[in-house]
Amino acid sequence: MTDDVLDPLIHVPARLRIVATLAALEDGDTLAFTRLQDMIGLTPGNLIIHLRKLEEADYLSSEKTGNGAASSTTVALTSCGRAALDAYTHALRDLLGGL
Amino acid sequence: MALGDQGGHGFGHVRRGLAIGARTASLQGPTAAVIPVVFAFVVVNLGATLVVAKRATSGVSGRPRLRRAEVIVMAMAWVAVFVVMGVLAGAGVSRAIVYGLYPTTVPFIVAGLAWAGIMAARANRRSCGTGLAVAVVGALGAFAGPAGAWAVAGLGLFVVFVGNAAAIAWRQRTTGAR
Repeated sequence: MTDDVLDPLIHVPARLRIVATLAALEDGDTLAFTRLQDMIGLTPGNLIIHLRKLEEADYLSSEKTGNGAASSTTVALTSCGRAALDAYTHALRDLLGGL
Repeated sequence: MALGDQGGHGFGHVRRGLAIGARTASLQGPTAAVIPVVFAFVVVNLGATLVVAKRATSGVSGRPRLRRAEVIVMAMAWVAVFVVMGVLAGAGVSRAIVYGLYPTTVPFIVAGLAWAGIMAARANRRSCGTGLAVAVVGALGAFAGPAGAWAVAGLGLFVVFVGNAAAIAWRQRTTGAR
């Protein structure tokens, strides 16, 4: 039942934290990968895996700039990702509304 | 009885002294000793705000919050306010007006209206309302006298900015994001 109502892609705790963190940004803003890693507390490899899954679903976009040691990656929630989080939170509220 | 009378006289003197002191302060504006304290408070406050803002936005990048024209409008508003203040001081206008009433009323009215205009052009109703509320605080302070204007500004801005923060938090709770 939970899987039918709650988006399984967002429902995973680590990805929920990523999406919720990125949702706090204003439209058009991006967050550095290193800052996101600091905030979420995941290893780089683990974070990359979760980000890739979200990007494949078009929930977030990433951009890499520079080369080598000077390179940096930024990520941001897409409008699709923001809508998915809205739907997820509404579904969760409805689900818990009776408690 | 005699002791009670003396006590009553003593309190009477104290009350009169406080009333005269308050009246003198409101007529002459803040003393020279108060201005550095206020200035230091503003500098510390601004420094703390910048440090917190820098930490909070570390790693965040994107479009600038204000366009160049908007920055120029706000900067000109602030500069004009303090140029006029300097002109008034040079023209011999009373200290109560220049250092008491003016700094806590005119800057808020001008800056508040300028901000409200910029935000209205962006169709940002919440920020426009915040600018108008700041202007209203400045206007209310003008009716409170040189000493009261500082209290109105302090309490008024506190209410406006806490209210603004509460409105943002409420919107985030109801929409689930941002």
